[in-house]
Amino acid sequence: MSEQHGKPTPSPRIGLFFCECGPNMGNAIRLDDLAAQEAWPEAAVVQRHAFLCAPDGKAKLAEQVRTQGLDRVVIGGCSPHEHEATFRQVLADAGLNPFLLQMTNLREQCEWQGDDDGQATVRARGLVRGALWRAAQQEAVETRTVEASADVVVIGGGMAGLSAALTLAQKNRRVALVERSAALGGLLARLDEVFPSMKCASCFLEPAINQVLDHPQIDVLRESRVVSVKGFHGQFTVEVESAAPAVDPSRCMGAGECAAACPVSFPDPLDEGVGQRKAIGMAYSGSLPHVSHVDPVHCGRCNGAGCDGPCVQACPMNAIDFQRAPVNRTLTCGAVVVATGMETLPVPAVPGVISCVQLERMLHPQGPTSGKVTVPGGGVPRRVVLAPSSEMPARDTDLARRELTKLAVRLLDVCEGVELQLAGDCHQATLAAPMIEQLRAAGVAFSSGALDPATLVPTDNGVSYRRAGKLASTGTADLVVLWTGTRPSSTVGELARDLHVRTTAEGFLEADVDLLVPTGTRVPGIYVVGAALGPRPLGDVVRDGTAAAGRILSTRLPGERLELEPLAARVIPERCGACGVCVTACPYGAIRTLADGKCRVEPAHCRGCGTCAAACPSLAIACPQFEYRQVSAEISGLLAMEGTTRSH
Amino acid sequence: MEIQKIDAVGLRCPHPTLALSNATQKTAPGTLVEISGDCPSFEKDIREFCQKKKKMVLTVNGKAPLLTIQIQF
Repeated sequence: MSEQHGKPTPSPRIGLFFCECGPNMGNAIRLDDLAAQEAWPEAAVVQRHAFLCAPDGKAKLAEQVRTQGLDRVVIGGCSPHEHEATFRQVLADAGLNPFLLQMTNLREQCEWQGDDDGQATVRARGLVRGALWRAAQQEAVETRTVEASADVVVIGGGMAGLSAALTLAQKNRRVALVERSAALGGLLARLDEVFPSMKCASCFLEPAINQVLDHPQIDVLRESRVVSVKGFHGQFTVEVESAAPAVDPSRCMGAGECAAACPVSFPDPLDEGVGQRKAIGMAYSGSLPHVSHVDPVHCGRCNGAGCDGPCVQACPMNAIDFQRAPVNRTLTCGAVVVATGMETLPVPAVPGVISCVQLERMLHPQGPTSGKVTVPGGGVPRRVVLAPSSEMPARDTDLARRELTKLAVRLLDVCEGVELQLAGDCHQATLAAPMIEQLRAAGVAFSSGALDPATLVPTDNGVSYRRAGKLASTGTADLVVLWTGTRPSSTVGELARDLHVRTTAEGFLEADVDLLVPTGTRVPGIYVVGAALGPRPLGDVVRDGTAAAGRILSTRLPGERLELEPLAARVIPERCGACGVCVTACPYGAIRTLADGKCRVEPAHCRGCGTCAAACPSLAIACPQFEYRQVSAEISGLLAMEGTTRSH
Repeated sequence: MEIQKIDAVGLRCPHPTLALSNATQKTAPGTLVEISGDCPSFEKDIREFCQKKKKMVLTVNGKAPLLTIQIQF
């Protein structure tokens, strides 16, 4: 190592302060030797104090900084974890940049390790020397502030996202609602009636969607997905990619001429294949906003299968144009609400076995069967079994019981004289007591146990099934309605990684354990609401959305200023080899590649962790306070022979 | 140096903080107080108390949940 490497230049006036930490220091370390002025020619002032963190200790430190004209301070005492912030504040109050402080942890690293033949003092001397040499290399770091954004991005336009967006907009917050599909409403839009009020789901949902669509403070981005989320509470940057809008929503009247002209027909995924849909048309009957959209997977113009686009000619409003490009937007917001919901698991492909969603769609007056429930060969079902699948995850149990009970009540209404069997201990469903009474009075048979999907076999009289559990039994029914279970929305894994939000083993997002911050996550400013947290009933979903909105309204205020990470990394462009290693290494996605291939750290997104600096093969990334010359100076000081002073 | 010791082991919050508050009613500024406790929120509660009362936490020692916290009054 060269002679000048890491040496303290004569110019800085370093004050070296030892804290005795009450009774905690001086048993292993010989403080009289260590804190002698003549032992430290690098320091302009050497002092010791019984309690440097106490009011009089802090006052003395501040006074020394002022009267001695100190421009660097080294403190040998406790862990920086405990009191670095305390002493930085003292420096700031004394008019010195708080980052010109260097603490060295003599208490935990020497004193409490015990004295091994005086080695504690030798080790302490090395640490102090390292700190002094490093302090000489420290530079002032300026803290910049930015205005916090009070806007909010809500991901997911189901009931949870809608409630959050509406509550926020009512208090004048700007909200961007990002929805993956073409229509708002999520799972609730597929339901016929809601538990336990048995009110029609759309009567409940439609006013909420309408308010959101009409609200001047809410921008609804449909057929859009969040590509990335960067930044921190108060300053998130959200990249959103929206599909090419083949149908201009400002012109489309929802006449449906395009769907009538479209030659492509396929099973509608919304009702799990009960009905058919076209590659262009409404998301569902009565969907809001009431405009057509194109399914790019099935559309012949989009998937390359070839189609001359009869829909374009059929549209009376001239609203369809396949030449439009996808739209990318960059949104800035102070908080993000994740309301990505859940999906239902498919049922086994056995004729006569349907899922709860399929039954909901059949029961819906505007559904594919106009409210009629039929069996595969046609006709009204006479014997129906409603049951959870034995493969259903345990977390679904209560929701499954509620939904199955609700569907049983509906079937009794619709199918006169039907013989119903309700398995899975549905009588234990929360809040279901009046319905259970009604079902019992109507002669519905209740049983425990779930149906094993593997035992469902089509027979001449319908479907034969085997009910598992203590009182296992077999039987035959015209129609088996199965609750198979739920899983998180397919896009949530990627989003969770980007947001640094934890997920459960099943992949649902995890809220913070702090019961006082419902829907909060371990990342400040990121909230998770509704079924993205796991299957839950509608009431809880609405409550979640409103709770998150309440938390957001009570934290970041419009106009509030935020401190940026003062220790944000910086790329030195002339050294950068444009390899991009740092871009992938950064856990916060804070580094991007510029047009010339070189990298740049976005200060608003950097959290000062230093991962990029360690990964960069060209030593082209500087981290304030941890620059190579600063770290080398400390190591040189540590390794210098006892008695070496390097006063030149 | 004289240390005032308080045993709050076995007490659930807010009792450790109350014990600290009660036992230090007449404690002179500068005195060193050492409190031991094993409530899961012991460290958090004591730190909050000290912040409110402008007392300095010096050390937190031990293995959770049994911790000893030194405070300068």
